Amino acid sequence: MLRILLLVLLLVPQMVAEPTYRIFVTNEAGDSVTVIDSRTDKVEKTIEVGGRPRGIGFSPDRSKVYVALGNENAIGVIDAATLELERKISAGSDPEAFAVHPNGTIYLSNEDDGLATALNPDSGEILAEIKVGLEPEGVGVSPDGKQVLVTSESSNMVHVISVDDSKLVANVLVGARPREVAFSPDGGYFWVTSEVAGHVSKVDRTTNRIVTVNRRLRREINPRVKPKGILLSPDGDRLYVSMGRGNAVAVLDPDTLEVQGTVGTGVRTWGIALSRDGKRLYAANGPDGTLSVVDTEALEEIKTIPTGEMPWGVVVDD
Amino acid sequence: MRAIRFALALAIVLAATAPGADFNLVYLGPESSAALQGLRLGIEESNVQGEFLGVRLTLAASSGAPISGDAIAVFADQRGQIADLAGSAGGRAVFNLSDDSDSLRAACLANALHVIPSARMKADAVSQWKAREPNASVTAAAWHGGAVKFAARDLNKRYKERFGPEMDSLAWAGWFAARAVGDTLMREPGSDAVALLRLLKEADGLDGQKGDPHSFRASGQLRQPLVLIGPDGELLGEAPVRGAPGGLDSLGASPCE
Repeated sequence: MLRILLLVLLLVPQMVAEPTYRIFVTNEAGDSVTVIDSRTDKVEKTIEVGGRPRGIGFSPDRSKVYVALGNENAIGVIDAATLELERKISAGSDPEAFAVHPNGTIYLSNEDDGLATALNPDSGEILAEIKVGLEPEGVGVSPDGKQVLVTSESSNMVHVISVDDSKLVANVLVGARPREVAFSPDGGYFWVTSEVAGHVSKVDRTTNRIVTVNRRLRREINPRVKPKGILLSPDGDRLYVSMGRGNAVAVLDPDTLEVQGTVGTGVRTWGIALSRDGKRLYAANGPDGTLSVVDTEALEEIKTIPTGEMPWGVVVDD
Repeated sequence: MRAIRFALALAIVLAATAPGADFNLVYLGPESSAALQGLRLGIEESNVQGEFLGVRLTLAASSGAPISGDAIAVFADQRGQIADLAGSAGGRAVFNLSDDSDSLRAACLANALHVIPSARMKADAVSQWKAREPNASVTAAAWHGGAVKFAARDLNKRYKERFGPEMDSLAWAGWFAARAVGDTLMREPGSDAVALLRLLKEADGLDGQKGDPHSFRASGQLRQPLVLIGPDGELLGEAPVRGAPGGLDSLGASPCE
């Protein structure tokens, strides 16, 4: 019986670890990761990780939490169960943000080198370096795993990279200072936030052309709005966009990009994450040093949880 | 006849596969100016962007007029001469990188774009700061070499690595002007000098790596945040100071609206 069980375990290609119900937040100026229990909203641990943690994400099996350590030119690896920092992997100069491909490869942006790097976190091997524009930041892997998108903040582009040969297939000019991307579940579209322009754009992935832009966010929400984080709800009906100094998260219609609602959060809201059921949204408020917990049905902030200094990114394992 | 037809077909094919648009730009002013260094960095960075899109900018530097015929825009570090230059530029955009005189803004020149803040803008920034800290000894400027917020850290690092000294306001003005021209031409590579000027004046989300979006007022003055600098050259903060009513338009006048 045990043998059969072992065989089954070996045959299943990607076992996902049992959820830990933990929220992980990078503290850019605190050089740490705050771990919060999502069932109690209490801080469980603060893990010292080292220089300037920003981007954060899970390994495909969710057993590891990866953290981009800009000032250490490394990706830190945290064991999601023991909450210990296991090791640091060399990741090229100044890694800022990343996305993890279903095959385990980490695609990351090297902010001050103008590169996107493909990194095997197990061997530490750098599989590819792709030249992109200035100050690359947001990274996304398409739902089918065939393409990687990287935004270049100072070159105002989304670079479309083919996973097979690590070559650029398109460069999409968008509003100034593009920061993050999100995909539609069928992979037909992506959305991108433009922080300085104040835009959210929707791009058709077959043509790599912008099909819709909302340029009115500053008029409709408030003049200080700077779109940064972007996420699609699990049911695909809502696009959540963090508004930076607009101190809010907005809900947009994914198709028309019309504003459906907003919820006030803390000061300079950047990183956002959703619970698996979509009922809770977590938002990192940098200068406040807090994480907002938002009830997405009522669209209300129901709690703020203290984090470390300058919280940047957030992910949830539930 | 057949040869001509073949040559024509070849020319069409070559044109269709050609990498895109090349634009010439001209700088007028001293060779030693930090504005020229900033411009050079801005042109190089625009060409990083342009490499992906098939657009290339080339800068020629000259100590004075006449303006070369094929330049699509003019950058100038020539205090006291901007109005004359704008008058002789044939409708091209003339970027003023160094002259802060208020009367130049009040002249409402159609083709002058003042990147450097006016004297009035700087005075307004200082008064906003002093309203909060009455005895402060403070000056206002477009840029500070030690600024880190809003990706200023990245730009300061690139400038210092490229040239050695820290980026100052003049260098920033040059860099900004080149990037604004570059980004506009990337989006509309079919532009001529008149279209470029119009697009620049219409743009409402230009990135100066100072946080808020930059745009040009009807006077040609660039709407932008400023930095406040203490007596030892240290960075004190930014203007508009938080909560100042009117946002970026609390700095400077709008004489031509």
